Amino acid sequence: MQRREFIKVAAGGVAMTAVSSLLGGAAWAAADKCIVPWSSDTPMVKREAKKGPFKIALSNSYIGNTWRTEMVQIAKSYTERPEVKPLIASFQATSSGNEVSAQIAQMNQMILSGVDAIIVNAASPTGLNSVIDQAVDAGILVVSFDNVVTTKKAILVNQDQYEMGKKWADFIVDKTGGKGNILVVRGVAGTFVDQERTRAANDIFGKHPDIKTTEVYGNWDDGTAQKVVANALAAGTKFDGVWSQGGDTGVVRAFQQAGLKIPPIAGEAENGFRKLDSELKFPMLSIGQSPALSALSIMVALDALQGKEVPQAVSAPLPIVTTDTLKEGTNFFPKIGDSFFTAISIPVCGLDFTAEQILKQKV
Amino acid sequence: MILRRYKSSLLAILALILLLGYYWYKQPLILSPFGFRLLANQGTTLALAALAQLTVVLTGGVDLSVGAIVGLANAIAATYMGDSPFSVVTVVLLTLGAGAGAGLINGVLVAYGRIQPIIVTLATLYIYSGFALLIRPQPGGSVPSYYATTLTGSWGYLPYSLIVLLVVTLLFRLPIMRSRLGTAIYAVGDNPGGAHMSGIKVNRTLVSAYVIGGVLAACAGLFLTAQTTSGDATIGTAYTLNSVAAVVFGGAILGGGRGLALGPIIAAFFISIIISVLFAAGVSSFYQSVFQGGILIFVLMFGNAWTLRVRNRLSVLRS
Repeated sequence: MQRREFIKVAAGGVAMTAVSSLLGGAAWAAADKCIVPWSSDTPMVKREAKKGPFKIALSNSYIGNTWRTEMVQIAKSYTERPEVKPLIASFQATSSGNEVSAQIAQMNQMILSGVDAIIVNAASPTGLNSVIDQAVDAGILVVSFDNVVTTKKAILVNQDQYEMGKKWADFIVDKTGGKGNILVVRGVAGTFVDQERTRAANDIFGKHPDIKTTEVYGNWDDGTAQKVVANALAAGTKFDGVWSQGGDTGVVRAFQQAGLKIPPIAGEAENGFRKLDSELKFPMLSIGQSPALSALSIMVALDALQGKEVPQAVSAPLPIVTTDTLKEGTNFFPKIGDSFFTAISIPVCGLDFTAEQILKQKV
Repeated sequence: MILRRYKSSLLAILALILLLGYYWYKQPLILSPFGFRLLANQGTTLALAALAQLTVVLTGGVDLSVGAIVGLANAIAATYMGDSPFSVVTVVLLTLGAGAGAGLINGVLVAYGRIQPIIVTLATLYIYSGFALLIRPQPGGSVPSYYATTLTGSWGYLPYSLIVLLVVTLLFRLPIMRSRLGTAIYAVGDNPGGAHMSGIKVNRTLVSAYVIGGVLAACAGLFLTAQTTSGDATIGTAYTLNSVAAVVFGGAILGGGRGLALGPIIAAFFISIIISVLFAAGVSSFYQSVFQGGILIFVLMFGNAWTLRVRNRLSVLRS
């Protein structure tokens, strides 16, 4: 990445994270629009306007990690906002576990109970397509986010995972001068998110013949990541940079335990990762998949239900933080646990949440 | 007479009736044609997987590779099916063939390799899942929509999935179980030594049972493919242990030799539908699996409560 471009990106991060930043719209022109189409050829969809209030259901798959819990909490907190509440007749969030048949059953139940919209975080990118088709045929609006589905009948809301992987890789190339050993910590094998992010990393690193990469799978989990990184370090290679998709607190800890100097790390947005960076000041780029995507999806669903035109695929903004833009209480939280995901707000969309607001919600 | 024959299935039937009654109270729309179709589709995959498991359990074994064969069948079907009716039929037959082949390997290893079924099928579980991943490294693929509607659609109140289930049970499994082979399977499961002494070819019977199991698991995979209209190599995982649960809940005995198709089928519907009922009842996500397990244990304990009151353990065995 060119240095100037990088500064611009960093400035964008400031604009997005600090609420009252003067840099605001000027430095980040694209960022002041909340609902942005995925690409120039994304079709727009418009439904017949319905009268609220609406019955909204959130169909989640896996619930065993902090991100998913926060995602559900943020969705609940959003539906209770004074400006949103009058539009919502009922909001029900359920999690089926990572089993496709269970999630199909769950969505069938939602279709039967006659909801207006289903917001879905899918257990499989393809396995739910037919039940989603059924829901759409029954007149239900389906919005898929995070682990999105492939059917075009659903509206997609996600952060561009390829772009995220690319920004991480650009940062590492910039910090290492385009040479050296790079440790690539991947996520959960076989998932769409892992594939997209890694594809971007390979595209960028592939352009630099002096970069050698070593791949490990950290499963987006601190414990696993720490273990596999420790194993990689024990093999004796000296790493000049780390490109990691998650479990970053564990990645830093592994370097600490091995008694090594911490190299530049590009990673996700876990609280522990940012807390460690605020102490140790290693070069960091932290971009988070935001748990507030659930709230953004509900926002898009409410727009569509009321007959507003929305893109079939929405590209959500990337909340970027670097070592210089770390700010206690805003984008990291010293008093909260390490696994907390810090990217809880999407300010351009007016989706600002505080950690307390989220944590008080029951799942 | 009939009641006596199906006594072992009674518990599952009663449990399903109670469950559906409560579901209907919470969600009256399940009595609509649409609701019927959903209910039927939801249980059919597990019912077929349970039939596969039952065939192996009857011989005194257990098949941990059922879920892997379901996933393998799903991967093959969704990857190669294409659009023309000819290719659909070919791929369906190919998939059933793959299921039979997988069963054959299990059976040969168990019968001639003299290895415990649980270990053989645990090993083949990894092998078949590996093949499924090779065929379909990422979720995707597609099947023609007429394939999906033929299996999962409905005609008024009559869901096609129930017809599929009846056809597989009555036209494929029943004739086999009523034949000499079927009798041999029960005999081998009940007492392999005795079966051998009475002139039954134990090894050949075992291999046949695993092959039938493999074909039935492939049927489950084909139905699942119609339900999801796509392939995902890892989709079958849940069917392994749930099929064992359905078989036991349905009145079959894990030691082998005893069990009928009706009980496990009904139990499979119970296990598949219970999750929807928990959603409908508004049970929090975190407690759903706790409730699921809890209800299963409760129902099984209730069903076996009478054994605590009998005077002599022998009468339990005799029943």
